[in-house]
Amino acid sequence: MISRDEKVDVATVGPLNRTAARQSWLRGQLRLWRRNKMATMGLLIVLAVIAMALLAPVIAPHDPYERDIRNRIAPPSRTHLLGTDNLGRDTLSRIIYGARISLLVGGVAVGIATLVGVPLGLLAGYNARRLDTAIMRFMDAVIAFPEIVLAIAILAILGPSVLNAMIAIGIVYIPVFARTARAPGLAESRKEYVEAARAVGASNARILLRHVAPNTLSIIIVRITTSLSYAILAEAALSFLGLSAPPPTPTWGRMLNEGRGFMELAPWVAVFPGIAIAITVLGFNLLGDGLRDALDPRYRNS
Amino acid sequence: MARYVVHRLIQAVGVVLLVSIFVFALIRLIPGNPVTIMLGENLSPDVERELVRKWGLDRPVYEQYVTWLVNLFRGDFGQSIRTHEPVAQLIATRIPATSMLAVGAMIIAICVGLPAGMVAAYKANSGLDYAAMLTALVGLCIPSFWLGLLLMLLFSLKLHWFPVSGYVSPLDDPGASLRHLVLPALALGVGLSASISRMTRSAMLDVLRQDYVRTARAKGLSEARTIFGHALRNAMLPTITVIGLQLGFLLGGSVVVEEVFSYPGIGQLLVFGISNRDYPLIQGVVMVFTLTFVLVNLLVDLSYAYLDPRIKYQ
Repeated sequence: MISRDEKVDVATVGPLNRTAARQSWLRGQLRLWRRNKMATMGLLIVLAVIAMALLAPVIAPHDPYERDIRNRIAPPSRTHLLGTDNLGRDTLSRIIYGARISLLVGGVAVGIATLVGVPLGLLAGYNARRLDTAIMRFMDAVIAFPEIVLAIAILAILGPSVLNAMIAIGIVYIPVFARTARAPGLAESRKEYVEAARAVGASNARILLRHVAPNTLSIIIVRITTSLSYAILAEAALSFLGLSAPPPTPTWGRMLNEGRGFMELAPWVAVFPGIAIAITVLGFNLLGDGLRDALDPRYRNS
Repeated sequence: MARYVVHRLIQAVGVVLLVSIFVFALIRLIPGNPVTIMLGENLSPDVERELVRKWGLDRPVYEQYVTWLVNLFRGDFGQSIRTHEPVAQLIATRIPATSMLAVGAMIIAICVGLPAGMVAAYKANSGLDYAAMLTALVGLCIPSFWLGLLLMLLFSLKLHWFPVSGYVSPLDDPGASLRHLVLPALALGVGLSASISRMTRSAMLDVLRQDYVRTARAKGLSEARTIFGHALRNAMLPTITVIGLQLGFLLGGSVVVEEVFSYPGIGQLLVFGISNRDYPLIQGVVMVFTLTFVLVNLLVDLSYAYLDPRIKYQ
């Protein structure tokens, strides 16, 4: 339960006293985090995974490509905390480095989806005539494809690679962002302050960018966070199918695929990368749910 | 009602046409000559010219599209480049396996998700509610292919309760067929049951707050009749939509889960098509998956309009 007064929306912060407003906004946010333990846990997981990806060379106990020939398919031990795979590569180090691909592909894909989808959605909501129909019908067609199937089809055209996996997953999520931005765009465009801005002679572009867009910000941030969890899952599935980063780059999905051939002998190769995926996805999900509770007015009192 | 149905049908046809343009463009968008991309560089120029003519690649693009679309409606999806069999036939022989998998996963998902969501809503904010929703959240985060591997590791390789992989037709041996189905269907159904239980819970919570539920209780109806007779019916509406939308997740998930269990379904055919650059096959599978998805969502929307009269006046 979060009451309205305790939350200062980014959009309602006036331009008059920015530093004071930002401080009280920060304080409000901090209070929210403390209140919402699940979201805090999500944030901690997300930060931990990001730190893992950034500091991989420092914290990884081994080189992820190094083959310890004498210790192939070795069970977890002191030298190899999570065991090794069939080539003698350290599972823990590969999982730590694998965070890089997951976050990179997930992040860039959601970035593409946001940068393309949000302007399209705002435009559709603001214009709300033929352009709206044209954009949204096109989005309907993209949504008509089952997610992974569309990503696979796009990768069939572009060929498997990290960059193409980002593009493919990005395209899949464009309609999600277009739809998310359209609804508030439509509602805001009909409010009095937009009317007022138009009356003083502001151009359409200015109204859209300076007045309508900022008011859709909170809902977009929530969508970005939850979409990251889905995008990371999608990347894992694609790299499991061998359609993301090429070997020997460590990715969680590929590690699972490589490990399943000898998982009866070495269950750790098939277990640990999956745990990494599940925890990361859980982190983004918890954070997204928490942000939604905090930022989305529809959930604020529930 | 008739107007709504017609409107919704026209919309679905429009979506299918747009989708078909995309799927058709699949081959055209690849940089380079489709013939050499699919068959390699070592073709003699004569053979290449012959194939270009045979596949109609020398005609204008819109003409190629119309021919392709007309053939599609006749059930002619072209020929697989690797196996030289008709794509439609390849897909058709695998429809039973994938349908069984999808239906099995759906049954598991509904049998687990619906009661869990109802109980969570009914006992809202209790320990039971939190436990159910935490389980659902975790269920959403587990990749289906990883769950498949874990199930296979435990129940097939260690305990030997179920076969490791493969498929047996129910016509040949219903028992063996079911044993082969259980693990893949579970791997696919768990994620689905999680989203169904979350949706059921929030829909049920909404409904339980309504005046007519209070009225039902006030006039002395038993708790069971209030829940099952009044609340559940209305709470089912959004849940049905979610189930329809989740079919896309199911079809996509079938691709990876079938790969894990070497289950000879349509999803595995797609993976085969990708690794062999068999573009007619990829086009066919993508088209069939998408048509199924569009059709099911059309049916969901229409049934929704039937169940909730307010929809059709919008």
